[in-house]
Amino acid sequence: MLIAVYALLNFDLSKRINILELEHHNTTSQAISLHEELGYGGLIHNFKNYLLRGEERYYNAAKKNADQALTKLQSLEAEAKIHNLDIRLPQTRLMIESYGSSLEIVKSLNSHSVPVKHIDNKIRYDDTGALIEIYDFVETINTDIEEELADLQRLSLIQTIATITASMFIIFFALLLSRISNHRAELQTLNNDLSVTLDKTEKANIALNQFAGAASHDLRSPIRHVKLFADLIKEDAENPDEVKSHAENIQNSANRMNALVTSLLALAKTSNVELHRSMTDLGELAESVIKEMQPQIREAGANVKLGDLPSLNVDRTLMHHVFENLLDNAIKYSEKEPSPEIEINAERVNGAWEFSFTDNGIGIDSQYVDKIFLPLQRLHSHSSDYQGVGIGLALVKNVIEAHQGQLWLDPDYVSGARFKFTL
Amino acid sequence: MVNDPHKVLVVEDDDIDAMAVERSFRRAYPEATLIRAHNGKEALDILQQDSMIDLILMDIRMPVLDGREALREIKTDPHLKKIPVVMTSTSSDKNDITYCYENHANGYVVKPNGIKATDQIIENIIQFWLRSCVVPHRHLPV
Repeated sequence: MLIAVYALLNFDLSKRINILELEHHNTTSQAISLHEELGYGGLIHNFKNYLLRGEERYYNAAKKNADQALTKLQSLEAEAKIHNLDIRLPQTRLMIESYGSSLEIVKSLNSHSVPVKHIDNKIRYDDTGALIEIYDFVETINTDIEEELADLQRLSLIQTIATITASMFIIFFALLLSRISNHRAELQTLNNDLSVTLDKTEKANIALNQFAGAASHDLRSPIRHVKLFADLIKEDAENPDEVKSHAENIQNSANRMNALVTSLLALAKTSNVELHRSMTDLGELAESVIKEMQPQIREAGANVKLGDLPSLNVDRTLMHHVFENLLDNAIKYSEKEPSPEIEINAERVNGAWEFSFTDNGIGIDSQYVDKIFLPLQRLHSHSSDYQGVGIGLALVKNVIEAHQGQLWLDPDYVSGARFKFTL
Repeated sequence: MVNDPHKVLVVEDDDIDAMAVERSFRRAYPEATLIRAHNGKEALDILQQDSMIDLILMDIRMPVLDGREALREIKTDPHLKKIPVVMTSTSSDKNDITYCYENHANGYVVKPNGIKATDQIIENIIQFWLRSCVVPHRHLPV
């Protein structure tokens, strides 16, 4: 836009400069032409020849010179007017007119054979003033044109400088705006990152508070129970059966507290844990877990089917916890009638190994899916047949995520629960 | 009627805690009817069927539907909101206590340790909510 305006203005200026230069040239040419019309070979020259020789052709030439000189003079005066210069060429005009009338006098005296010297005396005219006048006249006009030209050239220069300066400013501001815009975008990205981090921190804090609340609740309950049954032992001291029952309850509470503390410790150990990877035959690992849990499996009457599992570079100890907890979970929540059926499998999906632990149990309602992987979240009452402290799945999640895998409950499986994880 | 024994709904997932409450009730007010719910959902189901509940004692941390959510359901239900609800919890966390009162719990009791403390609290609850207060569905004594 700016360049277009500059080009337009400059075009106009150049045009005006060209016109002025042409006028300067014209004025000079016309002045030279007028001078020639008057000087040597012109009016004065032909006049003198006519005076000396009396030949008609000089008379005609001089006459023509006078007429043309007048026309050229008028043209020059018109040029002055164009430049608003109130200047004339009175002496030159007077000189031309004077030569014109002198020409007639010479003609008349020639016809009366008056001697040349006598005639010359009669018509002598000093033309120095007229010739100087033409020179001054042209000088004035040209000076004016030159001043105007200089003004225009200065204007053109100023215009160029102004355009360059403006362009530089525009480029500078454009760069500045671009940098501001970049900085703003960067700031926005940082803000977004910060917001995401804050969000995560806030969520982590909430989760931590919930965990602390849950841990405090679950640890206090068995302590409260111990105190309660101890009081009841005192109260029922006379009744040995009651005392025995209360003592058993104290034992159960103590066991429960022990299980909880052990589980919490195991969970703490798997949080942000450093992995000690080694090539591990997971089929062999699963077999050893099944063997260890044989009493529990036998008691539940469960049937555990083990598919082909791969060997992978994992933390063997932590993966042992994963298999143990998922198998324990499956046994606990499997259908008792006709018998708990549990399957452990692995298959290659999209370049990763996908493991599945399937049971034929009560399954998990979709509304609790978000809660099951949180520590100390129980979906069943203490009184129910399903005993557990609510740490197992949270621990499994920690271990799988530490291996950059994912753990989830298969939503498509409805004949029980199917936990899946990738490694 | 005025002299009918009161009905109390005990919402508690912990069998031992429920037993302790029941034991204290039997000693202080043997005529009272105690109904047990194991979680918030069971409690809401019972409340929909029985309109003569005089008092609800409810734990906070329970599976399926916890005490916080159940309290909100009860206190926003036009038919249930007049029933006094005393929250009983292990938690003495300020957020839990504030939440419960903001959601119109009528009382908040931190679960006591030992049978004497339990007896004392249950006795106080019976004395205040069942013997001193009048609930809308019961006639005032003449």
